[in-house]
Amino acid sequence: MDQCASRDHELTALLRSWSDGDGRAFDQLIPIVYDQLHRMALRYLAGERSDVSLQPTALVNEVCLRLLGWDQARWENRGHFFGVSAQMMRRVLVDIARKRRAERRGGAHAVRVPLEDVEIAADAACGNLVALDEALERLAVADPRKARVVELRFFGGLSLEETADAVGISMRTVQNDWTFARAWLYRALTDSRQP
Amino acid sequence: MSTERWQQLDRVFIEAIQRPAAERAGFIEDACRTDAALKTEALALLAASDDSSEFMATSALEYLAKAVAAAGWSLKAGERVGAYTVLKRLGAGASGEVWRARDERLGRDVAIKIVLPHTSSDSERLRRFAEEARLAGSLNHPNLLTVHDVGEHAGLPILVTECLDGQSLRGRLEAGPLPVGRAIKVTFGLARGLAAAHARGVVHRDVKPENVFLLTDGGVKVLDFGLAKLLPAVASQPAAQRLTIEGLILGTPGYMAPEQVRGEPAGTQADLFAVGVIAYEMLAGSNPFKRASIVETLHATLTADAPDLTATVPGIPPALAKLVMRLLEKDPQARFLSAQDLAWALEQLVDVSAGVRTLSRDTPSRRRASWRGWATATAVLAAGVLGAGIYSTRGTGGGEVEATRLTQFTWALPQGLVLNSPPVVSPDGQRIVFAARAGAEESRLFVRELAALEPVVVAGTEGAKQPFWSPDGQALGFFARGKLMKLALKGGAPVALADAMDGRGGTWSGRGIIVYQPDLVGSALFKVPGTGGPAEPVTRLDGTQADLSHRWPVFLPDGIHFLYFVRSVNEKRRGVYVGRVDAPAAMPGAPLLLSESEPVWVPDASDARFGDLLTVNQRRIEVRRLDAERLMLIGDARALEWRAGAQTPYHSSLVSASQTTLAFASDRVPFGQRLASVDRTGDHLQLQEAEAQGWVRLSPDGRRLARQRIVEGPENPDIWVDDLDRGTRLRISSAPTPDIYPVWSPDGNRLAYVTGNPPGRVGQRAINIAAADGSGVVETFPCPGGPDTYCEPTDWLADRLFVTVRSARGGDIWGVATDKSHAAQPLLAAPYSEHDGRVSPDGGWLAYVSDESGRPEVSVRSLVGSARRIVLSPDGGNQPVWRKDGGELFFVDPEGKLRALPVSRTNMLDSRFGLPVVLPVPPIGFGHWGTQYDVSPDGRRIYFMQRNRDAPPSSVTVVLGWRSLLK
Repeated sequence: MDQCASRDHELTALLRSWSDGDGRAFDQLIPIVYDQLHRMALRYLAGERSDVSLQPTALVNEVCLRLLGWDQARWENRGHFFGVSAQMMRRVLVDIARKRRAERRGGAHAVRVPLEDVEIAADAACGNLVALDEALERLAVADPRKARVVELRFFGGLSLEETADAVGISMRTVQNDWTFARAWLYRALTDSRQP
Repeated sequence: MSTERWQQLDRVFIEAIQRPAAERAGFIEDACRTDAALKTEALALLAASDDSSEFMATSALEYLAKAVAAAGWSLKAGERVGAYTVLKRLGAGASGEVWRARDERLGRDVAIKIVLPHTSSDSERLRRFAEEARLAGSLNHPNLLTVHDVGEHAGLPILVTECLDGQSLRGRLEAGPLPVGRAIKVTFGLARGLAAAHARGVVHRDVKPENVFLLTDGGVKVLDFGLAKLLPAVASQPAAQRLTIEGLILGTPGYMAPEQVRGEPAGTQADLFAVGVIAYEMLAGSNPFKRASIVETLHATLTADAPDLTATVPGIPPALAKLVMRLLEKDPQARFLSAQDLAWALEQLVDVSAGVRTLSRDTPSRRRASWRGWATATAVLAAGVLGAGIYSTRGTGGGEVEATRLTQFTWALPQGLVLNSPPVVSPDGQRIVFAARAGAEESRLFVRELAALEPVVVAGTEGAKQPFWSPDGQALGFFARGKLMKLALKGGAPVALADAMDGRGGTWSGRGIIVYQPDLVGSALFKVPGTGGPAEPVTRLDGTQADLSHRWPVFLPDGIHFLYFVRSVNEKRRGVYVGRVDAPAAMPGAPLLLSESEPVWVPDASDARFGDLLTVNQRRIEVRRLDAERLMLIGDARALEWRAGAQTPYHSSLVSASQTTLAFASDRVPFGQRLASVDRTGDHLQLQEAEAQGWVRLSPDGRRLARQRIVEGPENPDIWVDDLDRGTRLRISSAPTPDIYPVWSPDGNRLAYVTGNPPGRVGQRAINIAAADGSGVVETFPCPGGPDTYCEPTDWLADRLFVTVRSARGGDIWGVATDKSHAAQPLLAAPYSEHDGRVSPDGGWLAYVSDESGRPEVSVRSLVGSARRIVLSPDGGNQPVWRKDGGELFFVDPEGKLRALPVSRTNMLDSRFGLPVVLPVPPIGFGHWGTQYDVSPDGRRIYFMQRNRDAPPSSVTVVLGWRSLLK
């Protein structure tokens, strides 16, 4: 049995444990997902896209399918699969953003290296992603469905239609939830007098 | 907010947003007339909605990816990149990131620079980066950043360089001017580095203190070579730092030469101007052209003369001041002719200037020692693991300087390739040939011109190994597909010169004779004319000395004598011997040198009678002087500091040399195998111990496992039996010669195996039958088929052993009676090879391997009925094994995969063989030497040998001028 196969088994088991509420399983999942995502992001950066714009859904699904395997029997339905994918992507992406932000605060290096050094200012995107995650938590308390829509759309990369499918609501409702949630979250992130 | 309020807000907001933009605020005003708080909330949300058109417009992944692209996020700690393990990120720049990584093979840290693209139009820039990096990588020079490797990681170009300890000159300058002596040395290092680059047509164009690195050990490196002009016009770079025109960097104001400022083509003279500015800055502490603004700085570069150094720096040697001012001439032609000229001028300055003695404060008491000391410090580095160089400079009569240059660099084989023979340096030292393979592919030959960057595959060398050069370097000899071959490098097809089933070394004399070793096992050396002709033996194995084989010949300059290695189980025998091609084949005489490795011979340039004899002992390269005329060693061995891959039973040491060039790989080619077992479904893989061992054979009851193990001494396997139930192990044989190929008697009480070269029987091998309880050998009788054969028992049915008898023309299958008569008769003795006969449990069929069709194929013949051969392997195969009840036949296909086919029978004469299916177990390997697995009696579990998966060598270290270390 090759390593990939055994890794898939391991992943499936981890994912199930995680779905059952075992937080430690997620910690074991993270490095595996991180690694996979890392490769894909690199490929994305390497310009495999050129004129074709990135297809987030495809990318996220590829990550998750590759990691979890698309097995009808294993998933109740597409919605379930997308839901888990999006949750996982959210956790992973936020985790990565958090790590990157911490890294950027790191100290000076003792060894100089040959390179035309131009330190880039800490990127705002990472901070934003962490703050967004926190705001999304608050949104979930007030309106779990809207939070879910955001998770699926923004983290899972789903289209309106796919989101409607996954949540089991109309596309119009998804659109409304999305518009509201975006405005609400934007305000939460920009206005110090948050609701 | 209560759920009710929240729903109100939601409703009002959504209704508002569905109206035309101009009506929305009004709608909210109306709808919330009685509820001010709700109105405030809804209006705030509406405002947020208007502002957030870009917010979350792309997915989080893309969002993050953009952040990554902006700031870099290419590798992570612990990740493997090629041969390197990433440790930590050292820095990020506009064009990429630099990580510190560990090269475990060489035990050193390296810097990996990974280039991140910014836009899709960057592909051209990336291409040029790779090109320039390769060029820079070819500039192996102690004053230039050593590039170890250029490659790709996840589609992004990477550059692997040495990791430097020290600081940039910019950092040093912040602490004030440098002492004059130090400033001269830094300028000298700059000049030498640029001279090397200019000689290759590479102009830096952006020499400045930021790009000059001062090593902790005193060395100087010019960095970012050839990359400067590739940098894009990145908006994030402060305009004050770089001037760009249409995306081309012209240089850095303050260091740019006047011609660069004018936008004229910048040649090597521009680099010299920058060196002048840097020298000035080191001495005076400030840049002579630097002004408050870029425009003023550029203007000063064009028009202002630098203030006289003799006035600014008290006590500066006038000659030095003059030299620096000359570099700062506005007219490029008025500077120095070349960086090399500048280096020479600096050197003379140090040597002849009376003023330097007092000024070289760091070495006050030794006038010339300052240079020597520097050279020595670097030499120590060169001899260590860090690539570096020495300049030992010595003045000669006319003030000319002769430089002896020692350069070491390591190059990685192209992605995926691993070495399986030494990198063999051509006689002129300019090229290296090696056999390498990618994955499971056949090995091929590659030639790398030292001046080029990539090795080139040699067409027509599929399956080739053990290459060697013709004396003129125009042709190669090698072994492939059972033949000794030669191939002219200028074109033409390879020509087979002689049979060589599995050759181990060849050498080609100036007189056109090739001496070679045709077979891994039990062979002495032969000679054949390089133009073709009959092969004749030139050495003979001495059975009384337990010679296993004679290998790895190398001609001495007279073209008559040659050195070779005698492989023997006798420690007092293994070593280097001298043979000759003009006399009848003789057994080895007295050893020239007892050694664990074969010889590498490098004649002196001045007098080929003398030279260096290299061997690898304990992985260390040892050098001895040899008088090739008197065939005597002179003096003691000296060890070079490098470690080279040692000899194995299958491979020579991974080192070779010419007068100028030493090439070696640090790891040996992995060999040996591990015992593993797995269910036929691919489940429950178990790895047993890791050691060299092979040829597993299960007892008839499936509870014991016989195999060969090597437990003591080099290369002397014995037969052992594992009790699989109890986990105990029993030694069956302990002869001083190799005991291999065990097969069980049908009752499981005895084992037959072949034992090698017993004393007194030259080239002869015997079959031993020993008790399976470890109580000793019961019988010994010779291999059938004559005195020059070699045999392997492959099966045992009733009172008959099935034996493969191998001779020069291939294998035949014999039957040998196990009773006292030991009567032997050939069963299959066609002119093609037939071997590994395995009889079906009922005795009705013989499965075996035949290459009648030109490739090995698993075939069966009835032992009781028609003699017709039935081919069972559709695409070729070998290593047939029956299930104990005969209901299934296993074999290995050419991809190394295990296959099984059902066998159904109505009676002994009538069997039906089904189609083979591939079993999902790890590949067994398509080795041509014996059966590498066995199957449990129920057919459910497979015991097999898994190849040692230690990392094979994938890089070659080249040392130019290596002999200067011996002086």
